[in-house]
Amino acid sequence: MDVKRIIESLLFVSRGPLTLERIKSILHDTDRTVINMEIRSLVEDYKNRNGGFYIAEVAGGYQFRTHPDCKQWVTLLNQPSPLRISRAALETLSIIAYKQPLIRSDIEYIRGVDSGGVIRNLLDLKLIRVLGRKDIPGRPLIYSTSKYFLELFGLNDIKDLPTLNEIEDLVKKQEEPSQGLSGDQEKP
Amino acid sequence: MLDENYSIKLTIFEGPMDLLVYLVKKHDMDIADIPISKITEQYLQYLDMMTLMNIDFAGDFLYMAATLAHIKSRTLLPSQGDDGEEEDPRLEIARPLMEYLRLKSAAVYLGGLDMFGRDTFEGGMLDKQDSKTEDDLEISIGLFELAEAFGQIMDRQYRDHTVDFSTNTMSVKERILELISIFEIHPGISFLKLMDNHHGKPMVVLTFLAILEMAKMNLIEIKQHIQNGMITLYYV
Repeated sequence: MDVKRIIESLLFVSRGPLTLERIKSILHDTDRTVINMEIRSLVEDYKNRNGGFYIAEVAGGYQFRTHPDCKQWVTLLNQPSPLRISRAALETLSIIAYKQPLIRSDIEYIRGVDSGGVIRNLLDLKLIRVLGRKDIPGRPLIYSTSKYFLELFGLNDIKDLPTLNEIEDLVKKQEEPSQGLSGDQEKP
Repeated sequence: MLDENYSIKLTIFEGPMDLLVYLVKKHDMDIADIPISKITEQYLQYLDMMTLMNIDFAGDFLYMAATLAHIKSRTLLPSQGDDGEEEDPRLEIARPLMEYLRLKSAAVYLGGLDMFGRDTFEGGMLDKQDSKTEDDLEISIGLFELAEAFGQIMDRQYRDHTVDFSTNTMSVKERILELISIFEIHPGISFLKLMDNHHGKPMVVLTFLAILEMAKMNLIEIKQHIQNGMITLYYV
């Protein structure tokens, strides 16, 4: 039986990203490099086909996802349960993503406001997790982003996020060409 | 007395940093070279206005005001003596401000990514329920609502408080199998109807345990109608 076909069928029925390890555990006689090669080839196939869905490489695994272009029609089929992430939550989340591992006071130092509520909210959403406690007075909790964070934002690894400097340029270009603020300090 | 400085649309700022960013942007200031007395003045005016409009603001805002005033006073003092590499006191505010702006940009970037469940979906993610009208909405409920309904049933039907010591003839497992056969005929059945049988208290308890067990195994979905509070169980 063709390994590629088997992998494709596994991806089709799987819920959530399917990792190479998981596929290997099913196709134990097949070499890891062969599996990897076949996945890559599948990813390319779907990319070249440019259809309504593609294979997303997220959180260290592979998953069929609908193409973002088709969002407006797909959501007519059925309203997705609303995904509400407030501006404050997104801000806090980006601080955690870029400064992790960190404790609550690190977040509050940057934001300048009490962030306990937002952190609890992010924990409830499972977007962040507790890594442990820091060995300083009060033994505060240490936070980091979760695997679900990667899934939600379609990232394979936290390292896939662009650096803060890169982002500043990106955001500046796309949204505030006329503002004289931000970023001037970085210019050589 | 409202001069032109006050004629700004009032936004609720989340914190002093938010307010500072707003002021910097509004007056087109260069963060690397912040006009410290101007921003301090603007900042204090804003606090005055918030007081005037009876908006409570946290101590964080005052702390920032004090920091700004302190920086301003240090810039006024002549730099002391031989130590030539004394740094610009404004950096105390410029540095965190830059950092905050960078992370704000990061938040904008994150928000613009294709989010799973918002912009992109996996198979089966959206076919859970048929579209229903607002009034027909049902919400998934938790253990407490179910336990409350159970309590009501027990209250209503069994006031005799007798204890039956006869050995139970049916196990939870067997009751689950029975329920499954009921569900196979009626995929959606009201909780009350299932519980309402005349086989006595042990049977009601058994049925309840079976329902809990089935919910745990994800065999059924428990939903409550938003308007009439009816709890319905769905076989999935």
